[in-house]
Amino acid sequence: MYKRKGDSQEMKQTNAALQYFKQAKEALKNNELLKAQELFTKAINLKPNFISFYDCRASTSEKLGQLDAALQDALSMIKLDKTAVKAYLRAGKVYRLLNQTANAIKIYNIGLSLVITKDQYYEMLQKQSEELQNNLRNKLRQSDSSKTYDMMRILPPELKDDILKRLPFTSLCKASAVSKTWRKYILSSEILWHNLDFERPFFNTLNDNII
Amino acid sequence: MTGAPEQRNVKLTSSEGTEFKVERDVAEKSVLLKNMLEDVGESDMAIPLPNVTGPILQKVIEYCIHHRDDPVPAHDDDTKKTDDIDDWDAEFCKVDQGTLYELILASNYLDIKPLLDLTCKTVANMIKGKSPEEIRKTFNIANDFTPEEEEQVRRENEWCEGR
Repeated sequence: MYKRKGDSQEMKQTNAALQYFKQAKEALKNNELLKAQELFTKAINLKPNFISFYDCRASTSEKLGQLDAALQDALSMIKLDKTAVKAYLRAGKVYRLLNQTANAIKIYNIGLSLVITKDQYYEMLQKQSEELQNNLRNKLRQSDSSKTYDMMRILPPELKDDILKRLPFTSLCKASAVSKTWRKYILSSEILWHNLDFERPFFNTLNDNII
Repeated sequence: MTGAPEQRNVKLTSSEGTEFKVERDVAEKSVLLKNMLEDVGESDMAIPLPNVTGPILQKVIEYCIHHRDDPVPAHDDDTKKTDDIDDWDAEFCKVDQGTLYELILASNYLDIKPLLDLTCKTVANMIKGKSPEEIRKTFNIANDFTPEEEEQVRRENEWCEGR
């Protein structure tokens, strides 16, 4: 309306880009992924600031297994519009497909801090972020418990003693402050206090103090 | 003992029924098996080890093969020494905690003193020099003291802070 000539030029480009976009969607329907990807690229070349184009191309790349390309598009989307929930959802999804859970959580959280809470997809973003963090926490808890055990609860007394009697006095005292189970066991085990090992440094400081 | 040309193999069966064949001098690293073999004499019967799983028995055999020529350990060395673990043994003990405890139980049951010493030392080294909080982390233990109890324990232990 202001600059007729420029506007019509713009219009033409936009129309052409939308044309490619439509064709690309058709190609997607027919499961012609490579063709669709090519057409989305043509649309993007004409209109490099429509984030839906990137979103669709990213989704196509995902299906083609080209995760790096998909990630590039997702990040381009964020660059174009920092408040676009779609952009964060896409980036998060690609990171998850890449098994980069930490990055996915990071990008979701950046998204949550930048997008407008009234956005219709805001809740979806929130849900994704929470779900992922819960998964991660559960996984950590599982792998923790599958790898580490409280030896006080597993080993019979004579074997606990066999381990603990190898500790110097200071370590034994620190071990007795670990938990109720450890404290009760260590303080009540006679054998541990029969043969105490006061390491050298202890004597040295004692002597220093006395002198 | 070593290099006997007509040395017989000994068959061992793990808890899930897997059969392991080892040379007799390897099996005799275990005092339990040594006594059994002496009692039974020559026999093709597999010795059942219902307390030991296949993967653990595999590890135990690996240890006994590596140490087959070691002299019988002298009577109780200094048990306080925990830093005399050689490279092979240290590498052997780089397993998850579950496996380590199972090795302790198996070496105790099979009566393989050097392996029991090694594995107990390894666990002791996981405790040694650490603060209570670090020990909790290492073994995934929850601190179940109330704040008051913890304060009391801390006061009792004050003297060994930083040592």
